[in-house]
This record gives sequence, structure tokens and C-alpha cells, in this order.
Amino acid sequence: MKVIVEYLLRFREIVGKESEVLSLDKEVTIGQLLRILQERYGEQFKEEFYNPSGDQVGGNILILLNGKTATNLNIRLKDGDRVTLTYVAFGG
Amino acid sequence: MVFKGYAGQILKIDLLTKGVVKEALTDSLIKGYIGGLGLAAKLYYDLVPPRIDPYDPANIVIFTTGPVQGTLIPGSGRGLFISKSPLTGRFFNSNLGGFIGPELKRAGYDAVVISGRAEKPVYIVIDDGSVEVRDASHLWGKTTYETHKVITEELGDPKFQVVCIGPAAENLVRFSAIIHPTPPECHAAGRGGIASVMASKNLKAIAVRGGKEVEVADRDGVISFFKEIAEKCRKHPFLPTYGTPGVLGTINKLGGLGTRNWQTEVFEGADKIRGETIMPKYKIADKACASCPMGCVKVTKVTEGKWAGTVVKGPEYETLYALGSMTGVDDFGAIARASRLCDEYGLDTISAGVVIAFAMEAFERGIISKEETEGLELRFGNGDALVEMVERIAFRKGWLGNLLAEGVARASQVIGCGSQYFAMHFKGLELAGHSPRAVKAWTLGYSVGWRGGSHHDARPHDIEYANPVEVRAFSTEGKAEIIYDTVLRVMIEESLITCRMYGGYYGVRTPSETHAKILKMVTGVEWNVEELVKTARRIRTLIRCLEVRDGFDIKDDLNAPPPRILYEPIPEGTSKGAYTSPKEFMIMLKRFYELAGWDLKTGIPKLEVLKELNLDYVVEDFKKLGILK
Repeated sequence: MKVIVEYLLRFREIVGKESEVLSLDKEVTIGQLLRILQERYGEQFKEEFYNPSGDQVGGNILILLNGKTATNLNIRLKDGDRVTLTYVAFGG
Repeated sequence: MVFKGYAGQILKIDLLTKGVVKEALTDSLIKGYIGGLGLAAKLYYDLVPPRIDPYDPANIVIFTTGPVQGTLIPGSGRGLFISKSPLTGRFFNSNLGGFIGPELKRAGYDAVVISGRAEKPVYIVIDDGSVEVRDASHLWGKTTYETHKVITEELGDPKFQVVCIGPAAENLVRFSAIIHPTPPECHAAGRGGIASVMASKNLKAIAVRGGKEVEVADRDGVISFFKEIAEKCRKHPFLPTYGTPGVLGTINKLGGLGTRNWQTEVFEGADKIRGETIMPKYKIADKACASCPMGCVKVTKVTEGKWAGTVVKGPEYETLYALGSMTGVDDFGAIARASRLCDEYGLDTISAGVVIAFAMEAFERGIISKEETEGLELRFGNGDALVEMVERIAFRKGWLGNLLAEGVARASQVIGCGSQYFAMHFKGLELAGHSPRAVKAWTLGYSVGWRGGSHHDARPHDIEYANPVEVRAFSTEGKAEIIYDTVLRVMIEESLITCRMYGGYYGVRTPSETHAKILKMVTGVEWNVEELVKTARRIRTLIRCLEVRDGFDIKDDLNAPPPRILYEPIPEGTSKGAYTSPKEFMIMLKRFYELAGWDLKTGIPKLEVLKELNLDYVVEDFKKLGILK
């Protein structure tokens, strides 16, 4: 299945791209997707998450699933889903 | 004086007599009101009679600092202007960055109080102990950048920091801005039209140079605090790189970006104007205000199209919202050009954008004709029309330019035909770029704000953007508490005068231990959170009393939300269906009044609350005025 991942703000700088389409062999949860991305993009990417295991997301990271705020990382992704990684840090 | 950090002096200038008086800042004023907004509210209460017109010479303009200006406390490169707003008719404060706040402190003053009206245009020169009121006839009519250039040349030292007004204020545009040019960029005390009050006093500019050191109680503590916060700033996910435009893409994805006069909250052109797009393409410099390790100031230059070569500060997120998504314009060049003109002429970009968006909707609905726009196709998305309207407003050109210069509330009353329904303001102040529908708490926050449509009277979005849509857009639970807490936090940060960009490091919700620590390190006097909360309550209550004294009460809060917010759901996007029904608004308002200790029927602070907060002088006055029995 294919999942679109979109990177905003510092995620964009770390990853070096605005978005990508990931082809996955099997269904994964949002948490599992984060672990895949952490493996792929290394320490700097991991450091953005307080809990590098990917089970929880802390701090000011905001994950959107098809535009809606995802607070449960156990949600199973479907083919064609769009996951956005951004921040809700203060400012503006 | 036992407190460090302060200059210990208030400068009072009467422009009619050119009389200058220097008064001591007392310990009791500091303990009761801290500085900045708190101090200014107290001075304003004492010095200005109720119910006067903003353009009456008896109205005053206060330029104030807080205890931290001139120190290394991060985010202390601020200053605050206070007056009665010609836009809202209310007590009003407008905060600016740059360097002039700290400079005023170094010149030896905590605040400058300007009263009266000069017979002809003047500017004030504060050079340490020397204060001079000079002729400014040759500056009248000049843009802000030109004014800055002439003044620094005249004074022979570019170290003079200057704030000035432009042609928009001279033309008494009700949302004119005080500009602090620091070329190639500038900073602005933009909101509420205090620049026009300066113009009504024939005051073109204030130039300040100071050579004194600001003493702090715990020098090592302040230095170590600076390093600690600087390290956190380095990790901020967007402000150092993208500045405030960094939030635009995310807010659009959350379905809360005011678009085409809030007819929707998803802007299809957002990708073209968000920070991640414009900064890599157009940024020419990263800048910072005094004592700021964050450095969110960005300078951009348009590289292509009709407006190629335009250099502008930012534009900030709020400007990209007001001149961009609100007007449906996604051409960065046109937005940058309009923003630059606002800086040159001295206009508030938020109010300018909102009032132009209002006119665009009225034009598209056939309420304003092409004859009335003098041939201009005033449609959403028309960048040339946007730039043209900024010109017309600043110089009050034509019927429409002259009318829009009055602000959206007055303009909609004149235009009529139901246009009040889509006049997007709270209490006469055009709505800032944080949604009162996608973030329901904001409907309350703007409505109980003393300024109305300002995103700095409360700060619920700092908390609510993290919440799922069900919580932030479809629930009233706990919203009054968030608003009440963030209002108290704002009271402390506006009185210390620290930049709101540091809110998350100093306390995102309530007055915090960090605020107390800052005060202790700077002043040497112990403060605890409980005292800070009480002081914040005192300041907010006093400002409420300034509103009450001028005749405002619960009905003005009840009438604050624009009908579009109360009756029209967001039509699309992540926050689709969200609006704040009158019933939901009433639930939140009632709870806020309970928390603030305001009477549920009148909105006037209760007698026991005034006494608890040591506002006995207000009680006495209110009894004389018949407001309290």
C-alpha cells in the first residue's frame, strides 16, 4: 500500500523534501510509520520526538492524518492516506 | 528606590507649552503595577478624564518600558504605546519590537507621557538627560523611512532610535501605525491607530539616544538565563528559520486560516505564501530585536514580476493572512508591495487587509458598484487592486478610500445593505489571523479583550492548536478558564514587556515561576506566583474599569462577535461545520465573568473584587460617578 507523508517546517529541513510517497509491504499504524521514518532519517529526525520508540509523541509535534489531528498512534493507516508531520509551537 | 532594572523616572511632556517635567517612579507603583501595561494603565487612569474623544488634546500618549528593557532578558527588545484608540474609542496598547524601548530605558526613563497639542508639527528628541521639542514642519507629509533618514541626519548620529508616523496618520486614518524604521526593515506599534493620536497632537516622531547602563540585581543569573533560553531558541522548529510565516501552512491545514473575508478558512493559495515557500525563495536577511536569541525577524526581497525589487520586513504571519488569504491574493509580490506601502505610509497591515477584504466582498455581492470603486475591479485575488486600495486608504483618496480609512465597523455602518454581517471586527478592531470558529475559545477571548480583535489580549491558540478538532472547535468546556489564565499571563508579559514569541518558554498558560524568576533576577525583589496572579488581576481589572468609566459594559461584550462567527459554519476543511452559537458564547462569557469577578448583569467588576485588589481609589471614583452605589 502507499502512504503520502508530508513534511512541514523543521521536518522539511531534516528530510530535505516537502513530501514523499512511501510504498509499504503491509498495513502499519501511525506509530509504526514514525519508526520507519526514524530509521530512514536518522538521529536528527529521532531527536524531534521525545520518545524515540515512536509509541508516543510529546512536545510540540503535531501529526495530521488526512488533515485531522491524530492523537492516537495506534490508528491503522489505509492505502492513500496522507500523514502530515508539523508542529504546534507557539508564535505568530 | 529598592528595585533594580528600572530607570526610576517618568518624563512628562506637554506639547502645547513645551513644558518638560521629570517625576520619580515610586516603589508602590512598581509593586502594584510592575511597569509597561500595568504602569501605563495606572498613569492613564490618573491623568485622563473619562469619556474624552481620542483626538481631544487631553488624551495622552504614553510610551513605556518595563523592568526588563535594556537587560539581557531574552525578548526584552520591546516598547509599548498606550492611548485611547480612535478606532475603538477605548483604552488601547500597542507593542513594538526593535531597539527603541531599551534605548529609552538607557536614556534614563521608564515612561514618557505626552499630553496637549503642539501648534505646529514637532518631534521630540530625548538624548539622555536632555529633552527637546523641535520643529517638524519639514517632515510633515514624509513617509516613515524618509522621516527616519532626515531625523538621523539632522541629529548626526545613526544611533538615535526613531519612532514616527507617516502620511496615513497625518490623514487621520483610524488604523494608522507607529513605525520604528531600522532599515532595511522596520517594526510597528501597529494596532488601534495610536499614530493618529500622535498626528492629532502634531507629533511626527520621537528620537531617543541613551548612554546609561541598566543595572540588574543578579547579573550572573541573567547571563546564565540568556544562555539557557538561547539554547532552547536554537531548537525552535520554525521561528529562527521561517519567522512567524512558519505557522501559516499548519493553520491552513487545521482549517483556521481566515480566507476571503472569513467566507472560508482554507486558502487554496496557502502553499504559495507559507514560510516554507517564501523564505527559501525571497529571504535576504535574518534579523533580531535587542536581546533576542530567537531572531524571528526576516527581510525579503521580491525577485520577479511587477513588484520585483520590493524589500519588506517579513511579511509577518498576520500580514500574510490579512493582505494575503483574506483578500484571496496568493501573489507574494503584491502582498510584499502592499505590506511595504503600509510600512512607508504607516498603516496597520491587519486592519488594512481586513477592511480591503470587506470591500472586496461588498463589491462581489454588488453592494459597492464599479462606479464607487472608480473603475477598480475590487475582486478577491486581484493583487493590483489590493496595492491600489492601500494607497487610496492611506491618502483617503476617493469615496471608498476615505470611507475604508474609518475602519470596517464605521465603513459597514455607512454602506449598510446588510454589510455589517460580514464586517469582521470585535469592538471596532479588525480581526487578527486566529480563528474564533476553528478555535472556539477565541470567540470569547476577542469578546472580553479590552481591544477586541487583537490576538494578544488572550492567547488560547498557543494551547488549543495542539488539540483535536472536537476539542478546539466543537466544545465550550474549559474555554473560559483558558482565556482567563492566558489573559493573566498577558498582563504579566505586557507589564514586564517580554515578547510573546517567548511565551512558551516563560509560561504558556498562566503567570509562572519563570516570570517570577525574571522579576527577581532583574529587580532584586522577591516575587511569587501568587503575587503575580494578584497583580495580573489588578491590572486587568483596572483596564476593565477604564472601559467601564468610558461607558462600556456587558452589552459591548455581548455585541462583540461578528454575526458570521455566530451563525455561519466553516464550509470546508478540517474544521468544517465549526461556529460559535450565541448559546455557546453565553456559556463561555458567563463563566469568564465568574472567574474575573465581574457582575453577571452589568459586566462591571464587583465591589469586593475592587477592594481585594487594592483598587479603593476606583471604588471612590465609581461611587462619585454613580457607577457603584
